[in-house]
Amino acid sequence: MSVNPTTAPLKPTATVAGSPARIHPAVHVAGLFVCSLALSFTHTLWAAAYALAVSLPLPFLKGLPWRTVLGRMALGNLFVLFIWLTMPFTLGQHPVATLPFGLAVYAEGLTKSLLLTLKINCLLALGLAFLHTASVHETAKALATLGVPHKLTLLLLLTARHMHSLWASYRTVCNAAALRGFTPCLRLRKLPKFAALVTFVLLKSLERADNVDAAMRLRGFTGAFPAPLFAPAKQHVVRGVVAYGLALVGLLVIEHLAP
Amino acid sequence: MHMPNCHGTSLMPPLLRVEGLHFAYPGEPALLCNACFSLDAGQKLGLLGDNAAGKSTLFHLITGLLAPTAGTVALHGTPCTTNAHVAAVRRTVGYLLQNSDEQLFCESVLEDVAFAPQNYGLPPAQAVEKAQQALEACGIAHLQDKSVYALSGGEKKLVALAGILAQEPEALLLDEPTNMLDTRTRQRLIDILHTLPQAMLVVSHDTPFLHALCSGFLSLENGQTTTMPPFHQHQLA
Repeated sequence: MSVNPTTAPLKPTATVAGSPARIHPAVHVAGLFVCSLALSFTHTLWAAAYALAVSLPLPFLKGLPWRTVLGRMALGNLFVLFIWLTMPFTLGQHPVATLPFGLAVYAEGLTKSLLLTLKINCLLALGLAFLHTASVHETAKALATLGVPHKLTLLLLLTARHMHSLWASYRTVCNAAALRGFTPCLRLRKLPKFAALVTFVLLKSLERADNVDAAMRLRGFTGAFPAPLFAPAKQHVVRGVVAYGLALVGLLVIEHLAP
Repeated sequence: MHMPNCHGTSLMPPLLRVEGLHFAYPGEPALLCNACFSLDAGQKLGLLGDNAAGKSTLFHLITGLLAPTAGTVALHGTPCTTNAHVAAVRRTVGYLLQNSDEQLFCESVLEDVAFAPQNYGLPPAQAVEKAQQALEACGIAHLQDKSVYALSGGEKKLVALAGILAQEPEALLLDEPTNMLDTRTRQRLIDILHTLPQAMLVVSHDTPFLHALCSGFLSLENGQTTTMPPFHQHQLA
């Protein structure tokens, strides 16, 4: 099997053909940052609604199951619920209604709550569309492309690798304990043994970390991670810049023209 | 052929020579006392010894992961005394760890196998080419786009071996290479190792495997290496 490293594209982050998966991860990260920043400065409901309308389909276009999308969005909206429980009653000077116990609902509070709801859901959808479909390695590579210090991206990569191993070790130790009649839990009586298990996992992970470090040094690693094998395909960068650019221009125009 | 002897008299220096190696972990009795042997180009030696005899430690000492308390490791007759020498040993001698899981740390198989060539300064295109050649040599070219997390135990072992072969070493240190392999994968590994021209020092408790692969044997006992008779004679003895 041969791959031409100069033309081979990066692996798409999802399987949907023609979807935003064909955008380079670095452009996604930069686009997410710029759009989030622009969104945080918008003041009109129209602009926020437009941003939500554009971003909401993205997780589905990336091939995420609707249950996952709705579940994660619902979790994020717990914070929004808190906003709706406080802001309409505390912010503003023009009451539009009065609830029992003399609780006044202000127009300004309602508008602000709605604006924040739209913005937060937009950010959630954008975050889900990229972060939930990109691997840690893709994210790290994207950050490296954007000039994030190499040590930080390396740290991110190795942490992810280590967490994977740590979890695998924990499962193995728990299974071994369960086979001998011990169910790890946080009950006071079982706590010392559970702590011993966790300590064992951590010590094992330390040993594993040493071995991974040795394996890397044996293969010539001296602290600088090699450059990505495949250069980003130009069309994936251009497509991303155009897509995020259009979305951003739309947001600014609506913000400017909105009543 | 250089058999284990601290005072070999061949004109050509051996590829790897271990001489008077001593080592002890802090607070523990000496694990290696005056270990001596040499490995010629293309020679395949089996290293036998009980558990905790110091076989893996010996590999760590050869590759400079641990520093000996006394003695030297020489590559092509040059004793390794500086960091540059250690780097040269690591480049020349590929070390296959016992647990392949610890040897794979990149996202895809191709990236992982290309890791060493890239570290040794090859541009990405050439590193990919070297990686693909190594994968071909191990018969696992079809795995190149797979994630290392998604590999079976046998596949991980072969990918780890390909990762070492990609740096084009002259010798291989194999630590329990058949550990946890099924019969088919084990045979496949033997076939692959047979085709490789590199010198090998193989630690294994799998005696039929060693018998199939190695031409000479060393025993590590009480911290010292001793030459063993040819395998079948040893078995009969």
